[in-house]
Amino acid sequence: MCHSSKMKYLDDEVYLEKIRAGNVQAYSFLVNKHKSLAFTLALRMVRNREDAEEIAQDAFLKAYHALPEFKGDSKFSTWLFRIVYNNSINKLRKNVKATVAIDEQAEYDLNFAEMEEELKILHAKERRLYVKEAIDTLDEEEGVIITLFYIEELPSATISEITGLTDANIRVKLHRARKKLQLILQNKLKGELKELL
Amino acid sequence: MKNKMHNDEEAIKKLLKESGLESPSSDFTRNLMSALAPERKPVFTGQPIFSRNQVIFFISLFSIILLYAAVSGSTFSIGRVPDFTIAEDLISKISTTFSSPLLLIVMISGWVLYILDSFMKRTLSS
Repeated sequence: MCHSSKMKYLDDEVYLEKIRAGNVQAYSFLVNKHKSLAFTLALRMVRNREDAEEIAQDAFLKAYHALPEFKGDSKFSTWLFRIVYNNSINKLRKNVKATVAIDEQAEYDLNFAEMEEELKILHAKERRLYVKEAIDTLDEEEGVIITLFYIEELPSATISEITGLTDANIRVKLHRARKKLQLILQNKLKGELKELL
Repeated sequence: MKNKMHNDEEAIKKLLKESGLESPSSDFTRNLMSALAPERKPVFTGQPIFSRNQVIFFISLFSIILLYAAVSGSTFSIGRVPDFTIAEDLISKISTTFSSPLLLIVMISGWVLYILDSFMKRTLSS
C-alpha cells in the first residue's frame, strides 16, 4: 500500500518549469509524486510486479524525452498515465489474455454498504488484501477504471483521456466492475464468516 | 432507492480507497534518474568570447606596440652602422612603455580574458 501523500508536492507545472530551465533533478519530484498510481495502473493491467515496474519506468522515461513536445493541452499526469496505459496494452498484446467472466445469473445477497459492515469484523490488513484480490479478478480495463474512478476520484472525462474509451463505455465497464467486485467480495466474505463461525 | 445507491457508492469508494495504491520498489526513482543521468549534461552551443580573428588582432596590436616602443626615438638611420646597444635600448623602452598603468591593465585584462575563454571552452566540452 502506498503511504506517500500527494499533499507534500507542488503543482506539476512548477516542476515542469524547473525541468525546462535545465534542472533535471526536478523530474524526481514528479516521479515520486506519480509513481504509485503509474505502477498500480500497470499492475492492474499486466498482473506482474516486475513487468509493471518496467512499464512504469519506461513510461516515465518516454514522458521525459517527449517533454519538449508536451504542450500542456492536458495535465501532465493524464498524459503520463495514458503512456502507462498504452505501454501496458502493448505488453498485454505479447501475453496471453486471461479474463474472468461475469455470471449474470449470480445472486447478489449483499450490497456494498452491507458488505462494508460485514467486513468490519476483519482486520484492516485482511480487508485490504480481500479487496486487492477482488480487484485482481477484474479484467485489465476494469481494474484501471475502478482505480482511477474510486481511488483517485478522477472524472470520467479524464479516465476517457487516459484510456481512450468513450464516456459511455467507461460507465458500462464501471457498472460491470462494481457487480463483479460485489459478487467476489460477497463470496469471500461468506467463506470467511463460515470459517469464523 | 437513490439514498441506498449513494450509500453503496460511498461504501465501495471507502473499501477501494482503503486498499490503496501499490508501491513500486524502493529504488524505483533512483533507477529512473540513473537512466536519465547520461543525458543530464547540458548541450553547450555557445561561441567563444573572442573569435580567432580578434585574438590575432590583439596579438598584432601587442606586437605593434612592442615594435613602436623599440623604434621610437631610435638612432637608426640609412648609411649608418647599426648601433649594437639596440638590445639594451629595446629593453629599456619596453619597460618605459609598460610603465604606463593604463596600457598594462588593458594588456593584462586581454590575456586574462583569453585564458579564461580557453579554460571555459575546455571545461564545458569535456
